[in-house]
Amino acid sequence: MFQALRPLAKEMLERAGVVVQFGSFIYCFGTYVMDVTTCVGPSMLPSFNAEGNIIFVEHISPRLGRLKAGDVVTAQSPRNPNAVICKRILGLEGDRIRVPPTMPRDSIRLVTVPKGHVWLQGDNQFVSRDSREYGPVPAALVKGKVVFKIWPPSQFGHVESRIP
Amino acid sequence: MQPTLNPPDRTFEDRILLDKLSVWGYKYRRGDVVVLRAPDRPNEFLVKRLIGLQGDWVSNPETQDMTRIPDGKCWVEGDNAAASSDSREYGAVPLALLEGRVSHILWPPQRIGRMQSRPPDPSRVVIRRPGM
Repeated sequence: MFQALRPLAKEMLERAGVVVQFGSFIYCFGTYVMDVTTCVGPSMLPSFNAEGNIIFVEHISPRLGRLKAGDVVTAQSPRNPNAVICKRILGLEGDRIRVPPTMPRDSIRLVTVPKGHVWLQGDNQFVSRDSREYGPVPAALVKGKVVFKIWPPSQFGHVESRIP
Repeated sequence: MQPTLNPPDRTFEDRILLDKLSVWGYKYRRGDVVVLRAPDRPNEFLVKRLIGLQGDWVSNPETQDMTRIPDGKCWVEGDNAAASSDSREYGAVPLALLEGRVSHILWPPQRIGRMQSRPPDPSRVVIRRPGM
């Protein structure tokens, strides 16, 4: 009885091994190389729409420290470890930047970004909750650089790096 | 983190086992030893003890000031207060910087064992009660 089951068990183990290997590969690729995610919310209007864009994110530049001011990045929120935010880098460590006001009547502030931090801000400055509220963000929380918008098709294209 | 890790009379540096599942599941416990990314040096890791979580009040032993830990942040300190650069210097750090909980010491052989959790000093930390 058990003799007859042995080849079957062996085959099942082999197949399970393939599935586990494939899953591990997908996980590593998505964590360290590139990934497709969504970006929802009004804070990045007009670069991204409020209903949600599907975006293509690469994880190599943050790891190698190749980010520059103007890049759109995804980061773990300093307010909630569970949430991912999508913002534009306004300044890297040591940069002296002009921070636009959150409310239309406030004035511009001058800020120096501390060591190892980045200043993240949404393009829609009166709606976005960003570094103006929670301060500079540790660069270790920046997980990816947004390269392409792939959905909706009408907005398909490269995400430009620009300094507002 | 002396004397908990790398005690002064060591011959080998300690090797530790990390439990990442508790961080992935957002199960943080005050008193655990954790590994986190340095807030000011993105490529370095720190080993510290988790003292306070969001909503707690922590007093700074030098200035006696009480600070409230903001949402999504935590307070970490080294066990060797005199030599540690930690939240007493740079304030509360985002919970998202935590990489894992130190669960065991694996090496050297005479120090193999489970990492002890040590609840923070109640005279310094006011723990937020649920519903407050």
